[in-house]
Amino acid sequence: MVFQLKDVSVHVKGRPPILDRVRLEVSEGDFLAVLGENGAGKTTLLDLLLGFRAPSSGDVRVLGEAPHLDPWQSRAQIAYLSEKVDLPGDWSMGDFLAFHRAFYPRYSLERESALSARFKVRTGERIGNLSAGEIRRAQIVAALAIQPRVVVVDEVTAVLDIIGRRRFMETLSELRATYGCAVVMATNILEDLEHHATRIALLREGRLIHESPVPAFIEAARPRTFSLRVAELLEHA
Amino acid sequence: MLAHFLRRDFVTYRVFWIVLLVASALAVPYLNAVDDPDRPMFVLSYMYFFFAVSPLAGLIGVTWRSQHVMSRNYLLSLPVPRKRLFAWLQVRAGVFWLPYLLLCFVAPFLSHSVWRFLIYLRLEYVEFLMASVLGVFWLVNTGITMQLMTERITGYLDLRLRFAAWIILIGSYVLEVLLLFLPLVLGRRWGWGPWPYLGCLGVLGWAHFFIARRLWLGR
Repeated sequence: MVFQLKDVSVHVKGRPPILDRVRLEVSEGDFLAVLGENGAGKTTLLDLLLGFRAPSSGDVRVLGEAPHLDPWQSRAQIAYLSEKVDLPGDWSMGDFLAFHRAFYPRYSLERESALSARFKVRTGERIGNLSAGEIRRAQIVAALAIQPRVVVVDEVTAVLDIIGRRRFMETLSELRATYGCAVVMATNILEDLEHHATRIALLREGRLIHESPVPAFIEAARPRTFSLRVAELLEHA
Repeated sequence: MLAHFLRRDFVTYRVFWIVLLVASALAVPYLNAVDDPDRPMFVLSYMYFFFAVSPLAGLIGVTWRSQHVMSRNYLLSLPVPRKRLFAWLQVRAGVFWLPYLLLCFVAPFLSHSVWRFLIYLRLEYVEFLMASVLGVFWLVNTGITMQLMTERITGYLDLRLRFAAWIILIGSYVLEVLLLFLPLVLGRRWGWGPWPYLGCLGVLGWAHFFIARRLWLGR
């Protein structure tokens, strides 16, 4: 089991629970898409996986350890991509990649150069001059070159163009198929998801309202489209 | 790895470094040129207050203002113990004050007026150095706490809760400054010297250190 959430709740003073007794499990080779309205608790769920916050109750395990207790060595196997992450504007892409690779013992220069070519990352360019999508591409290269066992993705596809998005999804699927890497992706962009994700989890107001394998979900959705079924469930569940 | 961070910080904040080094270097001849060394040190403190404190948001990687700064989520996702990252943050924030501390260390030997000033304040050289080091420690940790608390408060949805948190935060800082001035005045009046002030500065600096570390670790 790559990660496991058992009855996990997150409470903050003065507001309803951000997550309410969520149970989820992800194994090696899984690609879990976490969907939900804005504010449904998707980012909080991923924050728990990285140990950015502790659960108010319940148990979180990632690679067998509780992430909020700072199992720092296991983080060398976790690639984290988030819309919240930005980079210093006066660095070049090459500076960032050089900075990043120093922390990861399994970092592959070979994979970095292959991914840089695939995502058209210009290493000499200053980050401050680049668009949000170009910055995300560099982060994707850096994150996936660490040869991760788990990839945690929080909303990075929104700023990628259609080609970047497709390449990113294909790369994740390849990692999953070739290395048994587990992917957890919170997103609002449903495009291509049905072809790449293996499981889907729907969050609504902090509660897990649906979880199933994607083929079963598509089958149950017929004759409606994948996106329409997701929207219906989120609205009426 | 710390050197890795420091090297990058030095490049990112090179303009700040140039300003601080030039200001510190200019202060040296000026200390000798005036009778009252309080004035150049006062101006220098202002320079440091701006140029050595303002990089803190970038060093911490505040998530509420992450445009083109390395956000904390990235730092915390690195395979480095978070307590070690916090210790590195102390060093990364503290190095900006090195020219100032160096100046404090040598100023009494460079300028007679600084010696006279210390005698006027009834301060021993060691006490003056302790005050300088503890003052920087307090300022650095106050800055980190302020940034992290601000980040937390801006996340409160309830307006009344947010307002109350701001009042408490600002009030506690005002109280803290008063707490620092009181032993300074009373220590001189009752002949206790600077020790109550130094004690207070140390206690407050460490209190901020532990609060900041707790916030950094997300507890």
